Amino acid sequence: MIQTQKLARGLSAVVLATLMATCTGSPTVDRTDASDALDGDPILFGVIAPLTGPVADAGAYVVSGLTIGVGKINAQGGVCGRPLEPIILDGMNDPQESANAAENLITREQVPIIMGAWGSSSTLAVMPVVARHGIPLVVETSSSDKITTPGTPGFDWVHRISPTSAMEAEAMKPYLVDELGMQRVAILSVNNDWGRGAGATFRQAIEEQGGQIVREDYIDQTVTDVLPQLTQINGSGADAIVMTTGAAQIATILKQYTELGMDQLILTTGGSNYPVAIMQLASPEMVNGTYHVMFYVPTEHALAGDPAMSEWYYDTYAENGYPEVGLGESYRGFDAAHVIAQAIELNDCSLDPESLNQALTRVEFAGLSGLVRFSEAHGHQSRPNVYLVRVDNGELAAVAADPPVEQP
Amino acid sequence: MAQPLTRTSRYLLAGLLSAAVLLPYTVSDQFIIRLAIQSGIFILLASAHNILMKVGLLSLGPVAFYGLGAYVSAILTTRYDVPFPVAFFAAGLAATAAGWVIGRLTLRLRTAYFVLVTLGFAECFRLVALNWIDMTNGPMGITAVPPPARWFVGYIPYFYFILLLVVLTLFGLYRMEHSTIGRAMQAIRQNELLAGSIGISGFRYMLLAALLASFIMGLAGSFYAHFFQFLSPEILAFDLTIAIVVMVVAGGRATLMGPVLGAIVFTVLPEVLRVVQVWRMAIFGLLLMLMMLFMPDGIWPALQRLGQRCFERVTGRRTAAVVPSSFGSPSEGFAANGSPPPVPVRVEHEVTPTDRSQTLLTVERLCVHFGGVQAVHMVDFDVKAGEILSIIGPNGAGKTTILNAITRVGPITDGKISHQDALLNGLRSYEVARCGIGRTFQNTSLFPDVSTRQNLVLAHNGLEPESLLLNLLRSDASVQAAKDAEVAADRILERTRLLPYGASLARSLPYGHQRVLELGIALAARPSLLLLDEPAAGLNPPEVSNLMAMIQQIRHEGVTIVLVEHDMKLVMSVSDRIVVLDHGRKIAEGRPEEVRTNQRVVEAYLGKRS
Repeated sequence: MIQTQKLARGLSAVVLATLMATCTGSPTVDRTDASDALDGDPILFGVIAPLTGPVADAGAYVVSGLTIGVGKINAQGGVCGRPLEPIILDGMNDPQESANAAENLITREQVPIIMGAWGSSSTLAVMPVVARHGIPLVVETSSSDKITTPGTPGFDWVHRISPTSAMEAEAMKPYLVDELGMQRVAILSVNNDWGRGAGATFRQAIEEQGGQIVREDYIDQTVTDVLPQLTQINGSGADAIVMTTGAAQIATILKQYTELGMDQLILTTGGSNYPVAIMQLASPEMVNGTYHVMFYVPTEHALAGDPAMSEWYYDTYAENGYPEVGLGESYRGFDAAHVIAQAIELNDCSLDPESLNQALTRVEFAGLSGLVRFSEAHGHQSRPNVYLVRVDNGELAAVAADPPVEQP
Repeated sequence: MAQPLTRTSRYLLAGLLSAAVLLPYTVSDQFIIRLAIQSGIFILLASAHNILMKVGLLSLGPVAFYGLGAYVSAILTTRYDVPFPVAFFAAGLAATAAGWVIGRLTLRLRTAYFVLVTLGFAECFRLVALNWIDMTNGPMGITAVPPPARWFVGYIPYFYFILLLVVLTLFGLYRMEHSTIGRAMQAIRQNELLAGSIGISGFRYMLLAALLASFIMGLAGSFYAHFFQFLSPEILAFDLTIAIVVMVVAGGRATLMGPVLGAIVFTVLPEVLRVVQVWRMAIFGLLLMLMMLFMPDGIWPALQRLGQRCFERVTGRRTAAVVPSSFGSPSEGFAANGSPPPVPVRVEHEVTPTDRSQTLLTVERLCVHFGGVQAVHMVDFDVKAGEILSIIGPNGAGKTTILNAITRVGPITDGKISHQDALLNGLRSYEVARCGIGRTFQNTSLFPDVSTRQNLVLAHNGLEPESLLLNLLRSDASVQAAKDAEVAADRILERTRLLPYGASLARSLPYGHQRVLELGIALAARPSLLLLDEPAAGLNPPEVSNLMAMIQQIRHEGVTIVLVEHDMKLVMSVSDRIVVLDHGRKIAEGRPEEVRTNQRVVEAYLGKRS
């Protein structure tokens, strides 16, 4: 017994010592390497992403794009001659964790600008924090319309690159009923702000075009058995299913859809459902003939804001050994890094948060997801390209594209 | 009586409080202020959850009340423009109402069932918050929850607000802990059955604990919503429940400061560990594991022990050992046979029946059946005031079943039991105790983890005022009750000769002393009728003679006694009358000499001659 205690004590001492060493060591482990070629203190900016938890994979993809973006910027001379350096904190896609991460970034790391915080709930929780300190926030993924609705605490400090669900539905509106023939539609989405938001806007768009919503089902993120919902959809006479959820759950649904021998048209929305990922998780045959709403089609360089950069990005991503399934999500980090870099340069290299926030409104960046620029009229919101992609024999083909529309 | 704080702890407390008040002026780091505010929220949650732990309940549904408070407050202020103070209290009251409903439904359940039902409730509530889109806005959450007042700018007003809530809560809990209510809760946690037998209603205090806990959690939820200004169903995540339970358990459950410490440590630690990035939660888990390995009672008790050790080393003094290293010989426990105890105790009760013709307890046609087994069938007897009535019979005759039926610990299938014209059938065990009926148990039943003296203090509880307000305000009545309890405990310690063991943990006493203590506990509740269930079981002959003297002394003081016993020497020498049972039926009743010669009794004990 005593020996066990001694052993346990020794073990804990080792663990504590390791921990202390890690804690007292330089926190540069968080930071991607700034280019050695550049002199001067790095310009720090904050990043809040889910690095752990159920959506850690998506967070990792965004960070990989961000890393490529920062590397590119630094290789091309950095920002105002100084290297750009992100400090990435884990928000776990949890509102409280993300808000704490924001507080840490602002008061501890003294960052002048933050990118984050992936999910809408997390972003909405971060917004009051950035507002209290007056620090601009660049939103790369969240889709809730409330983020860019005047009156939401922190609205003045938010600029969003990712489209709202409403924008997505609006862009797809001309195609849904008339082109794809979606007359009787079932909605099957994840029960969170993203799925619910997309469900509501697509319902509106379809109904406005004379289509009909025959069923609306919201399932938990962790649900793996959707046979009950699919059976009911099958029995409801639906001719199409609109899905908004992660790639893994879409793959699960498609497997069971095939199992039931269903033939409804499938349309996924939200832009995070890279069909290659779905194909890897299900099978190319199952994904064949499905439609997907995307904001960046990695293989269609001509559609990107800057085709040459799109090609370079595609190659670099592969060279870095990042997983192919993450490509569809990674562009968010890449574009956001460039937006932040450009804002700092437009601000005459000043890191004053207030003027940086103003500078963001002047940013125009031809990125992977189209032309990023924030419209004051639309609540500090950019309007990325929206594509309707069809999967044919494992290949992605854009059947429709909605180019950026001039804002009034 | 409330333990007066030592001078050191007063200084320490004053120091801590001033440090907290001055924190925003000494620390410029906003991050620390924010963590302090969050720690404050968690101190409220952990302390509230700890109230349930105080009555021995483990709930896995604290987030439901926290979330309910947050949603009520957020919905009232954003949707109906209700002013914050109203919404704040409405949040507390809504959570309390939910606590009442859930408490009524679940508090009769124990252990795993209670845990599962609370867990289920929390999950139900999460699903409602997630799917009742019209009211809660579902997963989209409620944005733009207004600050409590316009001048709540920056973190400082929030900090003082939560500090005020924390100080008020802890002060209230401190007062409660050192009051009748706190002692009753301690008794329930230690031994609910025994607590019932001395007049403490387990259900009442558990419900009170649930109401207080849910009220505090509701207020904490409201604060959260107005501090974060955004509310989504993530507040109801199971992770948060685990966090709260960890804070209480690792901090030191059922102590006042444990949850406070736990809340601070487990709010700050994950933030400190941010430097290790993705390893954060793994290391956090490892630290938690080590903590529980080396500090199984929690951080606070471990710190207390450490402090005590340092104190001893510095001053060279040893504080009184909690458990004496040697016990006196068992015969020291009682006065020798026949000799009266040195300090007679006046046993006070409403009626001091000395008139032997008066019937105190009547048992009529009592049947207790367990399925097809007739444990007791059609048994009649009555107990006259001031007598010693023994119930004897072979094993399985139904003796303990009758005692359980009288004290309402066990079921009654049919028949009537009345005490001074009041029917006991519909009462609960604590109500029977309050009629002046005390008892001991066949298997020694004590409050094992508190001192011998505290056992006797707790036993006085049923005689003290129960009102929450009286106790929190430390009214004269409650202060007097505490003093009475101490005085009564000392008297009984002296009388039972357990005085040298006053500071020893009850479970560390030798067996013979434990049985005496059990008798002392029953006496501390001042019964007029005392039911003793095999008090001599396991005692050696000198101990039995002491017990005999003790029983007679108790009777001299006017307490009527019903004795269930196998020790025939004891029974025959002390009893006025004897009821004999066999296979659940009464086979004889009469004076000892009558019973001794009764043919059926002899047959029951020795078998029929063939």
